[in-house]
Amino acid sequence: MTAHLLTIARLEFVAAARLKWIRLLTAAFALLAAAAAYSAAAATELSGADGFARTTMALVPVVMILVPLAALVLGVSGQAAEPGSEPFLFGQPVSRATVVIGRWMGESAALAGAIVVGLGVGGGVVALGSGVDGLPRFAVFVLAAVVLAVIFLSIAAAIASATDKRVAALGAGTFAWFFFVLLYDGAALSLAGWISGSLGGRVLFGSVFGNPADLIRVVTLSIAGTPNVLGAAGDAWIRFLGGTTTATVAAMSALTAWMLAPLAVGVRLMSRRDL
Amino acid sequence: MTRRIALCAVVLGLVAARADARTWTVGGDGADFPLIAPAIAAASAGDVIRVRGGVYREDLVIDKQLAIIGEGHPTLFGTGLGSVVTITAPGCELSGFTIEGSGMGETNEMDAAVQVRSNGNRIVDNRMRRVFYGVVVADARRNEIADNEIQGLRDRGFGQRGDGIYLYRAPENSVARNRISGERDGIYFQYAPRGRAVDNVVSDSRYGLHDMFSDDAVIARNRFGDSVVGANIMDSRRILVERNRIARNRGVPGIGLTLKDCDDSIVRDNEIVENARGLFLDGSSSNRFSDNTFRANDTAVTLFSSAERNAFGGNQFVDNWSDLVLSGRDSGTRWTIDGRGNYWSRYRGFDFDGDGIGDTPHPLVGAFERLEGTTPAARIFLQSPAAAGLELAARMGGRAADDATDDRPLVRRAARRDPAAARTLHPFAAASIFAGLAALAVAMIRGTDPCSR
Repeated sequence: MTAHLLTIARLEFVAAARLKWIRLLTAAFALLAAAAAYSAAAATELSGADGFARTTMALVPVVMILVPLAALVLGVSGQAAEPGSEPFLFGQPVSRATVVIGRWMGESAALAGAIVVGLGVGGGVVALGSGVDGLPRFAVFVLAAVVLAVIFLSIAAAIASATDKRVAALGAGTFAWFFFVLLYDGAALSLAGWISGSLGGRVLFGSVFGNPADLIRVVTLSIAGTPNVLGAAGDAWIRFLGGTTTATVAAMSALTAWMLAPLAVGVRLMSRRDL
Repeated sequence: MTRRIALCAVVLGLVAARADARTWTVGGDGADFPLIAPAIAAASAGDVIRVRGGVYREDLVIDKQLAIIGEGHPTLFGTGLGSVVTITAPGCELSGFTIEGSGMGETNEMDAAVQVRSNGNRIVDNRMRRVFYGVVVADARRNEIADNEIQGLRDRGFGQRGDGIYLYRAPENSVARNRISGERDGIYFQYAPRGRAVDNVVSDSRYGLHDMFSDDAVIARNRFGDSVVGANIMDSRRILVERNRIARNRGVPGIGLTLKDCDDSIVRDNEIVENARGLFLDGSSSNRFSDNTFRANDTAVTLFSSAERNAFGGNQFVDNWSDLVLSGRDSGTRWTIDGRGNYWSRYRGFDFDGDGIGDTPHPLVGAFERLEGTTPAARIFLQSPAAAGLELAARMGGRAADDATDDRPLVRRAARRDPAAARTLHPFAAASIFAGLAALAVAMIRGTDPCSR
C-alpha cells in the first residue's frame, strides 16, 4: 500500500517536474521575488527583519494569484489524465484512493519545490542586502505558500474526480480559481460595505475561514508581514476568535481541514465512479 | 526708582563675581570634603565645586548659585527616596555626573534624577541610569538641559515609568542633544510654552515627544523612533516641527506624528518613515505640511473630518501601503500650496508637456482605503488581489465628486537630503543577480525533456 502510494507519488512528481510551465513558474517566482526583495531593500534603509517583512508584503498578492492557479491547473490536469491511460492505471492492483492520494502527494512535492526554490531566491537577495535577521519569519511565508499550494491541489483532486471530462474539469478548476481568488473577497468586501456596525465586522472576520486563500493571507501577514500591519482589524480578528492561542488553533485546524477535506471528497467520488 | 534697581543689579553682579569666588574639591586625597552635601553647605553663591571620580551615596539640594562639576563622571547614587538632585537656586550648573538611585515613584510622583525649581540653570552632560523621571523642570523658566543621556525603567510598563525630561508649567526652556530611552514620554512639555526641543534622540518609550497646552514650541532635528508614538502634539498652537526623523513607531496604536486639537502649526522637511500610521490629524485646523517625506508607512496620513483647512504641498509620498485614509468626509484639506502639489509614488498619470506636473489629477483615496475609512474591519483584506480588483473597477467607474485629489501632482521626487542614509544593494550585485536568474530561467526551459503528458 505505502509502496504503491510512493511509486505513484514519484511518477507524478517526475511528470510534473518535467512540465515546461512548472519550470517557467519557478523562474518567474525567482524573478518576482528577487525584484520584490531588491525594491524593498532599495526603497528604505531597513534592518534585515524589515527587509524580509516588506518583501513578504510585496509578494503576498503575487503568491495569492499564481499559486492557486498553478495548483489547480497542475492538480486537475494530473488527476484527470488523458483518456486511455486511465483504464491502464486503474487496471493495476492499486486502490483508487492510492492513485488519487499518490498523485496529490507527487504534485504537492513538485509545486512545493518550485515555490521553495523561487521564493528562496528572493530570501537570498534580502539576506545579501541586509543580513539574515527575520529569515525565520520569511520561512513561515514560504511554508504558508506551500500549504496554499497543497490546499488547492486537494481542491483540484475533488474537482477532477467530480467531473467526467478533462475539459470540464479544467473549466471547473479555472472557475474555482476565479471564485477563491477574486470573487469571494470582492463579495465579502461589498457585503461589508452594506452591513454597518459590528455585524459587518463579524461577517468579514468569519468569511476569512470560508476561503483558504484568505486564511493563508491573513496568517502570513500576521506572522511574517511588517509587524501589526493589519492594525486594529488584525487585533479584532484575533479577539473575535478568542485570543492568540485559540486563534492559532482555529487557523491551523481550518488549514488542515482545507488540505484534507477536499482530498477525502475526491477519493470518495473517485471510488464511486464508473470508469 | 529705576536707578535704585540698576544699582541693586550692579551690587548683585559684584557679589556673584566677587574676587574670592572659591573652587572647592570633593573626593580623593587632599580634597576639601569627602561628600558633596557638606561642600554645598560650606560654599557661598558663585563658587565652583569640583567632584572627582568615585561613588557618592547622597541626595543633594542646591540652594545657592553654584556650579557643581563632575570630573570623569563620578556616580551620584541617591537614597532612593524622592529626587537625587533638587535645584532651588537660580543660575546653577550641574554637569558631568552619572546619576542613579532616584525614587521609583512609590511615594512622590515626581521622583527624578534632577529636579529643577528655579530659573536659568544648566543641566549638561550627565548620564542618568534606571531613573524614574530624568529631569523635571517645574514652575521654572529659561533652563538649559543638554547633552544628557537618560535611561528609564524599560522593564516596567509605561504606566510605571516617569518621563525623560518633563517640563511642567515651565516656559522657555531649551532641551537639546539629549539621548533618552526606556521612559514613558521622552520629552514632555505640559503648560510649557515657547520651549525648544532640538537634536534629541528618543527611542523605546511611549511618546518620543509629548506636547500639551504648550504653544509656540520649536521641535527640530530630533529623532523619534521605535516608540508607540513618535511625537504627540495636543491642544497647542503655532508649533514648528522641522527636519525631524520619525521612524518605526509601530504596533497597533503606532503613529509617527499626531496633531490633535492643534492649530496654525508648520510641519516641514521631516522624514516620516516605516510607521504604522505616519501622520494622524484629528481636530486640528489650518496647519501647513510641506516638503516632508512619508515613506514605507502602513498608512501615510489618517485624516479625520474634524481636521479642517489643512494644506499639503511639496511632500513626497513613497512606498506606503496606503497614502491616505479618510475617516468621515474630507473637510477642506488643500493638497497644493501655492500651486505646488505633492509627489505620489503610486501616481499613474503622465507629464506630456514636461513641466514636472502630472497632466491628470491624482485621486488620493483608493477604493480599498475608502472602504477601510468606513469599515475598519475591511483592513483584514489588505493585499488581497480582490482589493486591487476593486481599485481597478472604481477607476473605470469614475470617482465620487467629494473625493480628495491632488490637482497638480509632482512627477519627480525631490533629491534626497541625506544620500548616505539609503542602504541599497550594490548595482553590480543587483545586475549579476538578475543576469544569473535570466540565465537560470533559459537553462531550465531549454533543458526540458520533450516528453510531456
